Amino acid sequence: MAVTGRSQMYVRLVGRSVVGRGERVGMAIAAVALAAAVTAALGNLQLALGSKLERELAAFGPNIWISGKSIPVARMLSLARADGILVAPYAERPEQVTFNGARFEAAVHEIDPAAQRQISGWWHIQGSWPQRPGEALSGIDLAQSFNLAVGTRIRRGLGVVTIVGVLTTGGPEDKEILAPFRPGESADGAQIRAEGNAANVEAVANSVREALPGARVHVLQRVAQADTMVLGRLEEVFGLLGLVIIAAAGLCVSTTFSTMANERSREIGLQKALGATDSEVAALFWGEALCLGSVGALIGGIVGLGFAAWMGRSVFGSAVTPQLLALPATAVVAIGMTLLAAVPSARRIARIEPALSLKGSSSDVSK
Amino acid sequence: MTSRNDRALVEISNLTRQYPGVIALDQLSLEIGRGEWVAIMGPSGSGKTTLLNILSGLDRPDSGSVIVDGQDLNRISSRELATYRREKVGLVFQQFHLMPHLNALENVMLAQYYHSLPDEEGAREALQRVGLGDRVEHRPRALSGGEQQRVCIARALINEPVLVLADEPTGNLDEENQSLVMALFAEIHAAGRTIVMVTHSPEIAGRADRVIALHHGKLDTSGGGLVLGEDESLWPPSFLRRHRLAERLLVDLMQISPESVHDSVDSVMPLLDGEGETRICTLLGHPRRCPHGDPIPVGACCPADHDRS
Repeated sequence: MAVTGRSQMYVRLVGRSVVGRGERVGMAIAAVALAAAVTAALGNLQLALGSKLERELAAFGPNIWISGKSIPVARMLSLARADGILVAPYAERPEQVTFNGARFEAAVHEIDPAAQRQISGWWHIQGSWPQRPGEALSGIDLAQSFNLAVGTRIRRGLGVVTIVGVLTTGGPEDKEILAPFRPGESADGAQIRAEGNAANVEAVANSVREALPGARVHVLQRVAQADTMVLGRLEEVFGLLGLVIIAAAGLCVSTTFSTMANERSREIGLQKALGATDSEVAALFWGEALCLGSVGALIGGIVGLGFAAWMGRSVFGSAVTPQLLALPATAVVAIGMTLLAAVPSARRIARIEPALSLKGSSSDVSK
Repeated sequence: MTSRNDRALVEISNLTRQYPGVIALDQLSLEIGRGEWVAIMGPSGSGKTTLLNILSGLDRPDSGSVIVDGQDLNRISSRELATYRREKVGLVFQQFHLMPHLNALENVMLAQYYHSLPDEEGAREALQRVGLGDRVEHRPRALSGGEQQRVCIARALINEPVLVLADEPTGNLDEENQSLVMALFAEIHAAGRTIVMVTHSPEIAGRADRVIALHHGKLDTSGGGLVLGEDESLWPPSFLRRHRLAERLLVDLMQISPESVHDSVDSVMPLLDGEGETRICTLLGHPRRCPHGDPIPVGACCPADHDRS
């Protein structure tokens, strides 16, 4: 006797039912996949792009300002050891500059070009950033006043400096010369960009105070709070957008299930006529819903990760590393939404009266 | 003809089933013996299908008792009723009602699944017994009506039910398939199985041990007996009248020859249900005789001075 296990037959029935209803099942899977894709994409973006967004925001300026006297540059730069902290030390001093025989006093702003470049993303430079002590930037106003251009050589103190770029900031730097620190020089202060919300920024400021007891450390509250607000709003927008799309997809799945329940009313009536209990019929239905939810979650999860990667490249200019944490969340949301959307149809199926449904009555459920 | 056993398999007593505005079954009482083949006839709305639904545990009576194999169907829970359906009853439908996405074999196994354990070999043998050994992998849409009905019969019998209930099992079949299906029912009957079959066809009903005629939810005893067979003189006058009016309708209005009218009479019988009988009798001018010359029983619509000779 070739007895087939009940669970084996159950899987066979669920599989046949899912495969045998191609178009409807396709629609339901597409709707679940949409919800899963949105969840995966937004979840992935939220997890992976938090730091990317903060780096983007970092370009809009520092949120901590340090001022002091004769702080070694190396000590300043050591503050950036932790992830998510940018430190741009500076020193300002007036110096005599000679060019084409003309001698004038200019404010020379000494910087660490690599750090400054990251923290002052909005600066516009015609030419390039200085790489070594013999190179400098000229502020646009200064350049126009003294006909300085890229390639111009000027004498600064005892040495000769080549202008490699003309800088436009809209701020006091437009009237200054910006040159890299010379070895052994000390800084008068630093701009710091700390990632995270206002509390994180305050925590970084406190650690700087401990590290530099003599320096004055100011948290630029408006910048820190604006960053926190922007990130918070972005999270809210992501969340709301996700909820709306998941709700719309849930309605679509629910409608598809409802149509399927109506179309198969006779089949359900037949199963009951063959002796199936309500719970046995429901078990098959929930099995199908779980199957649709899982397939939709898998497809949507893959599509969502792809979409997030594309968004990362096209919007932020760098790939988004797939966040594994987003996948279980996607599965839970997609399958949960599918099961929730199936509840009204499951209730209708439980109330189907076999005698009426087999007769083809339009009202085949018990009151 | 199989005689009824001493102890009846089905005992129906004062069975009443009402729907809003309609009494489908009205204080009906009858017994069906073990191994008996009973045909139920009657016009549309006479309560045939309601009786079958109650016997199959798909519906419940409002009052009265229906005892099948010692189990009172009006006194058991819904879950017990589901168990009754899976263990005691085999259903054969006019519309076959096969699961479209399952093949013939799986349709039979479905009944096993709800009964106990699916047995593929057993299901295959059941299909072989109804002549479908080479069609087991076919889905319903790839099977003819007759083949679908045979799958339905195999499914009904797979769990060895004590009671086989059939609702117009040949209603959607051509003559050849009707013969095949009726031969199967004869086999089932010969094997000692109890069969209750609803039919409009006197020819089909004539194969049964006993014919029960229903009218407005009650036994139609107007013929003085309940047994319908090939002998039309034993049919209830109300049924005989409708049958012969149907023959006249076919010959007079549809130009069918009296010799071949027999084959088509079942298809127009439903037209004579209820008020249809009066309308058609009047349309035909209250005919006195059928196309074969036999008298048509007088109806309430016929003139009082109607010549019955």
